[in-house]
Amino acid sequence: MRFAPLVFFFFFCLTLSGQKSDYNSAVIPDSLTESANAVIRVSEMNLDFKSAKDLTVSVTFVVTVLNSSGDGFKRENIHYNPDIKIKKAEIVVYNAQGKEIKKYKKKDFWDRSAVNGGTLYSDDRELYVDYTPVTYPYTFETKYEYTTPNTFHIPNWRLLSGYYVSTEYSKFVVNYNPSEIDLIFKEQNLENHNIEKVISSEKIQYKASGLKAIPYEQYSPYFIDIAPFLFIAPKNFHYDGLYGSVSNWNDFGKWFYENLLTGRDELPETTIDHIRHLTRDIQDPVEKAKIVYDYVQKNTRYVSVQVGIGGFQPIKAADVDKVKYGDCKGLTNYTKALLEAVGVDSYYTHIEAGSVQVGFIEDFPSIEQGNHVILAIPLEDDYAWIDCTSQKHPFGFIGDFNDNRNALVMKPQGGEIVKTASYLNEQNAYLTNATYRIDNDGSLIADIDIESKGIFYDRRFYRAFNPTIENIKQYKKQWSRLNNVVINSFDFDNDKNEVSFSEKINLKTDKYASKSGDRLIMTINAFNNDVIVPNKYSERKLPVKFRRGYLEESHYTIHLPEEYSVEAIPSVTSIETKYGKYDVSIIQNKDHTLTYKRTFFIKEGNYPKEDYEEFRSFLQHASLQDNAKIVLLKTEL
Amino acid sequence: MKHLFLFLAIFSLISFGTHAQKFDFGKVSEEEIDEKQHPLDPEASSAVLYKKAKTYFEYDNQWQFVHEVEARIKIYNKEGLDRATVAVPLYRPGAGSNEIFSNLKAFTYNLEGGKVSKDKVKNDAKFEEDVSDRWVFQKFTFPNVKEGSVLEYTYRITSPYINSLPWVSFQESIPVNFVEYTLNIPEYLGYKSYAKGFFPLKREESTKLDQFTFSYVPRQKDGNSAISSHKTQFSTVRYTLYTTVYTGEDIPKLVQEEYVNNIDNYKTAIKHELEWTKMPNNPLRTYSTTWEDVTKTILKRDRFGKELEKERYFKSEITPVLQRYSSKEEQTQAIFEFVKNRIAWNGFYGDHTIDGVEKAYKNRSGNIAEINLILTSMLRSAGIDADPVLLSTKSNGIPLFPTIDGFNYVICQVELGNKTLLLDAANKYSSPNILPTRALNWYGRVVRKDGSSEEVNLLSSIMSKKITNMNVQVHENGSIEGKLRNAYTDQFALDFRQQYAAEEETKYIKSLENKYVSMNISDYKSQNKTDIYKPVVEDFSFVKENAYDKIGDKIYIQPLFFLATSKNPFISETREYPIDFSYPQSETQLVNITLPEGYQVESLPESAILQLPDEVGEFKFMISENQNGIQLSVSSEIRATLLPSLYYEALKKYYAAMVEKQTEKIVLSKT
Repeated sequence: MRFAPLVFFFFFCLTLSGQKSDYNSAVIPDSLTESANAVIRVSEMNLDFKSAKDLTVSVTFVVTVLNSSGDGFKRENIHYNPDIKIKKAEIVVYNAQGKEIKKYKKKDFWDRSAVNGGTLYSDDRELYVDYTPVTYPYTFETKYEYTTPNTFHIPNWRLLSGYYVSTEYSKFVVNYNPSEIDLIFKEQNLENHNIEKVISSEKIQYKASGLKAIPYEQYSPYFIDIAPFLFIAPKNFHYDGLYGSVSNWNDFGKWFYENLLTGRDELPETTIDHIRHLTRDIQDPVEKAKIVYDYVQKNTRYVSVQVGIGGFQPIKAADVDKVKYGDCKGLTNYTKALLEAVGVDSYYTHIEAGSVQVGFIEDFPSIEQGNHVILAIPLEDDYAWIDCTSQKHPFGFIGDFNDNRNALVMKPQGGEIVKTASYLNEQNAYLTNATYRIDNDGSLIADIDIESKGIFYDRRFYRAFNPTIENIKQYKKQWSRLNNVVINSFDFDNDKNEVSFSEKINLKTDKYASKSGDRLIMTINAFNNDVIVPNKYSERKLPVKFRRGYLEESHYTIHLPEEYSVEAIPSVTSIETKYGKYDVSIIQNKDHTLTYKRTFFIKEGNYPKEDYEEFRSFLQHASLQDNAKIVLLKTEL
Repeated sequence: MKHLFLFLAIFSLISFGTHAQKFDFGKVSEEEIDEKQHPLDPEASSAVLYKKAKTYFEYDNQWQFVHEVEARIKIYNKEGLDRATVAVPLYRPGAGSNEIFSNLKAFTYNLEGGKVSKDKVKNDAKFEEDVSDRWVFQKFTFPNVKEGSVLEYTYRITSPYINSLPWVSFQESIPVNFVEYTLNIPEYLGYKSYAKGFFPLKREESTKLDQFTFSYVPRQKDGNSAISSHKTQFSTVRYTLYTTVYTGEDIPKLVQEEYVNNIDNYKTAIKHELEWTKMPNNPLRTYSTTWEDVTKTILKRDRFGKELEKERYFKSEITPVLQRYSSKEEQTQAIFEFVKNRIAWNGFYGDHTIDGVEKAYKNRSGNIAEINLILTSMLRSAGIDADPVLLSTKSNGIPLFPTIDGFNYVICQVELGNKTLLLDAANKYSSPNILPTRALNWYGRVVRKDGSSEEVNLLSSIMSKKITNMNVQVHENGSIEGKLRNAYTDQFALDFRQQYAAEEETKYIKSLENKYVSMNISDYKSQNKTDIYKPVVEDFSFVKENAYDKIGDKIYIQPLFFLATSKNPFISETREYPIDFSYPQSETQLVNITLPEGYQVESLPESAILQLPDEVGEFKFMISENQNGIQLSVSSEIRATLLPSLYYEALKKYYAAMVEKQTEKIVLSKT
């Protein structure tokens, strides 16, 4: 590398010229300790690209931890893998006055596997120390430097590390040789921060200071959507002997397809014959795909092994076929190969999975986006999405793990950003039909039918696989307001075609209605009254977001006890707002029964922070109405 | 303890019949693969069809044991698939003293087209994970596993740690059809067996004459020529082999329940501990077999007894502290607080030091043993009668038998005249005799200087109290306002301090406001939040909207308003294991309710007293009306710490009645 000495020198200049700071905790301005459990005093990251195959990353991260809730922000671990060579690692701890109290040199770090819970094995490792804070505040300084030949996947600049943490000073520097490498970068939420930028043909430098801590608020957008970031990715990169050059998602997908997917889909003849045999009488590609998915669900299981290039490349379909297990990449590629064998097209798709919906940025191609792989099967003008790691989900249903977000669909001709299936508003339905009887002693016996669709399906269909004892426990938790409830029986119908889950429950509870002299008092809405009123904020800071939306409908027929008559029926009120509606009615019938109807609908939506109070009162209204009580009076005999 | 019987396994003479057939590795039958559900537990996701464990000994300059495990697992449905990955923990502190894993053979059996197929676990499905610098997980995962598959595996662990043989479980979270554990002990070694759990096991003993050949290099003797003595020599020895075989059949799965201190205490399992060795031409050597022996051994350890003798490192700092106080009581407290502030707990338990007391003192951070041994030696250096107490935390289970491995925690006992104090300086908010819940586990052993030891009851006998006083004015518009005072004593105070003492007050008030839904809190004051020698007291005023129901022209009030217990914590129909309350406790609420202008009481719930059998608990609900309004006194007391499961029915009914009473309504009508 002919430029190396020069660049190296330059790098050292940067490190040495970095702030020689006063780590006295008392000098932190109040504006930064407000709502903060920790303050990032200095966060400096230098990326130094000597070429597309030679990246040096050096990091200085200094955090003052104000209380025990902030302990998690100190950096005690340095992750690495067989490609990453850690050149330097050092940790120094300072007390509140800024005096050094502990120092760990590289040889003082311990070394262990960094295998997370769901993974059987990975070659990721970490150097770590285990520091116990004695008093607060303390300051934790972590410095490290590593080199890697892989530039496919590089770190971004996060100006805030999370909720309840502020940043005093943050600097991000990328040095690169433009004849060797080209970079793309994208700002997010930087507008309202005081950022100094220097951008030239061989250097990108961002500096920021005085970023206040953001406290968490309920029903707000995800942190990742409000936090300031700088995303960065190489246009041309190296990855385990492969070189690539991409400037858009189309290029990226094409590169990925050609280099990491092509040729991994061969299957043994016997398997091809078998899967063709299973689908021999079917013409419709979707029906064929359903049979293939069913075959995969019945015969494989999820086992995660992440070694070397396996971090991005699926193991061969033939290997999965042999052992019948694999991770998301392996199982998806295997399913794709099986579909191919029966003449059905499908596309390997990168997605950021999780209940937090994070989509791929449309004009910013980088491998760093995405943590999961699913399969897209093209329909006429849409896709059927399947997650091959699930042995239970219906065909085409991806639940809240993968819904409604931009994903990268890899086609042979190139990549495409496509939004996955969404489950919104009325699609998420929870319908309760119940008949219940109150006896003279106040006890309740009920037949309840529940139908769940959309996201509700995702949350409840697992019951079909649970043992009885677990299901009874879940019902008792759901209806814990029914004192001493006994579940007499239950039955399920899991309709995978319609993606609808039906439950029939018979339950009873003694003394549901509470006795008070000659009166019985009880909540009419016995089974569906768990609206939680969110917290009150003296000054709401973040906008309001309600995700997905849902519809609840309840219809109850209530048989009243013979010896009692209705003394008072609560005056219930319906309400309709821009957030949704709450409709309720109670009808007294001639045959000593009541009819109770309730519709509770919340729309998916984004609102300014000023709307929070109103949104909260809507939920409060629903909660109050749900607890409306009826009073029965003993009839004179 | 009168309920000790709950923890002891029963060896019975009943003869087993149903699984008398031989299980041989590799002989998986079609019926087993074809079986759709477990015959005794139709909902089981998987089952152990059989498991055989065997421990025997080898001599190669030193004794080592070989532990072989062989098992056959049936997968019934998808929930059972996680059984297809196995992880075996191995102790690997460094070359020469590592446990060795070998001879792994593992296969998956399926029925394919009516025929039994067999797939081997190959090398690429075996992994080693370094969990820490001393522990490794040897993992392997099976190929081609689906509903119906039968898995078989066998492996061997060779270990030099003969003092303590591995626990062998007869019970799992899935049903176990048949287990057999064979232990072959040569006459040179003596082991004691310990068992726990509920399920009867069969035990058979036999002896036989055996022989083994071992190799050795004779030690070179002074003055002799060294030439011949370097040659390896072989020797054959005849000896008696003692064999014990334990078998168990049809053992149901272990089910987790709420309020169980540690489910592992109830799992049927067996373990053996070395009692003595008697090598040819050597005297008998005995090992810990009584608690007395165990504590003596621990006291002799460098990382325990020797550490207690060190004093120099703290002398200069502690002397000025002591000079400020004259009485032993004050000095004890001063040292206790000094240690708490001086050394932070690093989160690790331990019945011995890791870094050592001096280093821990200098670094101001240490494990449990370091902190409380420093405390003990400081107290001793001040002439106070202090001794370490060894114990096992709740998560470590109850030490059923004398073993060094049974303990994982140390506290300190001080005797002041006729007062005995237990101290744990690793918890900032712990006070004398008020220990963190993790340490409130059965009995500990106090270890005296001379090595003698004695049982110490760790279960708290102090009744911890939470007392709430509340004055409520009910307004006609649906709101209430009032003043509330909470006082917490002993364990309740410790719990409160652990959760809230370090929290910002404004945050805590917000969390209270949210907990009670739409409440506004003002004038919040707290006392003794950090003064651990006094009860915590908090006072505040509140206003709450929508605090009761108004239907027609009547008002319906829940007498305890937002303080009512509205859910029964015990929901299961049946109970297998004792219920753990951690400590005796009482909660009292004294409430004065002032009625809105123009309203009168139409009806009140009736006063009531509920009792648990044998006076283990009592709930009192006393309500009365006077000219100012309504007065209420509600209290509930649980006087036991651990209740056997036979109390469960009564306990469940007790809580149900409590909830019912607290949610009954006061009815007010217009005058």
